[in-house]
Amino acid sequence: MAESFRLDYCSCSRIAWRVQKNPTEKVTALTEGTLDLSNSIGRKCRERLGDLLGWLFYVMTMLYSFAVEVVRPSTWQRPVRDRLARQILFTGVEAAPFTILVALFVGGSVFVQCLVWLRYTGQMEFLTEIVSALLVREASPFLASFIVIAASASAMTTELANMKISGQVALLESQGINLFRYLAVPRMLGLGLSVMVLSVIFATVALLASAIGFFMDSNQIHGAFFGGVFASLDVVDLFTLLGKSFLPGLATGAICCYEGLRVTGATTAVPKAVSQAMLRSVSAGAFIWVIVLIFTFAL
Amino acid sequence: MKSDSSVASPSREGPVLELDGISVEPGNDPFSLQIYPGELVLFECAENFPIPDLWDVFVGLDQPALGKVSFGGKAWEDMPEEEKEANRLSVGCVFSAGDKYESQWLDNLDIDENVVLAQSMNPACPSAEWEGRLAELLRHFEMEELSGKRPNQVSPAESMRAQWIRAFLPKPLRLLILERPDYGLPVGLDMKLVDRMMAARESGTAVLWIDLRRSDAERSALGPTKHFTHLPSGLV
Repeated sequence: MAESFRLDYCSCSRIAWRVQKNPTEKVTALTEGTLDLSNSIGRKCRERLGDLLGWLFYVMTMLYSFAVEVVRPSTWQRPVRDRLARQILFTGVEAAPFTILVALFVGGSVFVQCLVWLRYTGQMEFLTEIVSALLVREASPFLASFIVIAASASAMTTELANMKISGQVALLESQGINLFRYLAVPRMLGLGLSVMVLSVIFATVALLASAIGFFMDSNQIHGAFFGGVFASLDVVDLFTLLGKSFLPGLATGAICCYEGLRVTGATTAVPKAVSQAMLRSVSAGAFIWVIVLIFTFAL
Repeated sequence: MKSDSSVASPSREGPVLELDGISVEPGNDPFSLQIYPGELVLFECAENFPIPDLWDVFVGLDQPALGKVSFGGKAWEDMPEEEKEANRLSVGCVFSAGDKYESQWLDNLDIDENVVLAQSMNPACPSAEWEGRLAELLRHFEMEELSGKRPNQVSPAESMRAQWIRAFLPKPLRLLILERPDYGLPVGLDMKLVDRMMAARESGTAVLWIDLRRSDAERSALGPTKHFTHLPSGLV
C-alpha cells in the first residue's frame, strides 16, 4: 500500500517537473502521467478488489460451514450449548433494556412525524400503514442490528483476537477441539437469534409507543390503531423482518469471528481488527437489507 | 544432543511421535527423535529454548523450519483436518507458565470447565465414561473437586494439578507431553504424578517430558528413560 502511494507521488512529481521544464511536452507528459496514474490506481483497485473477493469468499465459506454444522447433532455438545446461551445472554438479554428505550423514542418520533406530514398533505387514512411499514419493515431490523453491532460485535472481535494472540486458540487446537464448531457456530447463531428477537421487541415497543401517541390524539383521528396496523401487515412482512434481522446478525457473527481469529502478532492489531469488523458488519448488513428488499418487492 | 545409556527398549509398534531431522528455528542444528509407546523421553533444554514453537510442531499446528513430524506413522501435514483433531484428542498436555500458552487455560471458562472441555466436545466419548476417569484422577491426586474459579483466581499449584488431570483425562492416551509439570509446586517432583505417569506408560502411553536440567536423583526417580539434552548453543 505504502509503495503504491509512493509511486503515485513519484509519477505526479515527474509530470510537474517535465511540464515546468518544457511546456511543449505538456500533452505527452500528461498523457504518460495519466497512464502511470491510471495503472497505479488500477493496481490499487485490483488489490482492493482481490482483498474484498478473498474476504467475501471466507465469509461465504463460513456461512456455508455454519449451515452444515448447525444441523449436525454432534455439533451441539454441552460446551457449545453453554457458549450459545452465554452469547444470547450477552448479546440479546443484556441489550434488551437499551433496545426498549430506543424503540420508545423511535416509535414516538416516527408517529409524530407521520402525523404531522400526513395531516399536512391530507392523507391521514394512510397513517397506520405508513407507521407500521416504517417501524416493522425498516426501523426495527435496522436499529436492532446497529445496537448489536455497537454493543457485541466489537466485544466479540476483541475477545477472539485476544484469545488468538495469547495462544488460547492454539491451546484449543492442540486439544483437538474444532475451532469453528466451538468458537464460531454458537457466536454466529447467538448473534443471529439475538438480532431477530431484539427486532421483534423493537417493533412491538415502537408500535406501542405509536399507539400511545395515537390514543392521545384520538379525538382527531378515527379508526382502531392496532386493527389498522395488523391489516397493513402480511406474511411477507414477517419474513422481511426475520430476513432483515437474522441474516445480518449471522453475517455479523461470521465477520467478527473471521476478523478476530485472523489477527496475528501484537495486541496493537486488535483495534484495527475491531474497526474492520464493525465497518464490514455494517456493509454486510446494508447489502443483505437491499437483497431482502428486492425479494420483498419481487414477492 | 546426547542420549542416556539407560534407554527403554523400543516397542515393536511404530513410534507414536517421530521427529525427522527437524529444526524449529532456521539456523538451528536439526535433530531427530522417536518416541515409542510406553517410552519416556526426558528432553532437557536451556531456559531460552523456544519450547512454544516446539509445542506447535509436536501437535501439528505448525511446520518445522526443517524436517518432518509424524504422529502414529503419518506426517501431520499429510493428515486431513478431522484426522488431526482425532489424533490431538489422544494427546495429553501440561504447559509450563510463562511461555506462549501464557494462561494455559481459556480465560473465559472456569478451571473445571477448562479441564473437561476437550472431552465434553468429543461426541465419541460419552460423558459417563470421562466423568468416571475424572473422579478417579481426583482421588489419585488427592483433590476433593476441581475449582469452579477462573484460572487467574487459583494458585499456581492448584492450576498445575488441574493441568495434570486434564492431561491424563483423554482415552486413549497415546502421547503425554509434560512441560515442567512440577513448576510452581512447593514439593518439587511429585511422586503421585510419577506414579500416574508410570501407570500410563504401562498401558502404552508415550511420554515426552520437557524440562530444564534435572538432578541425577530426579532422573532416576522417573524410571527408565531416554534422555536428551539440548545444549544452550543449539548444537547437538
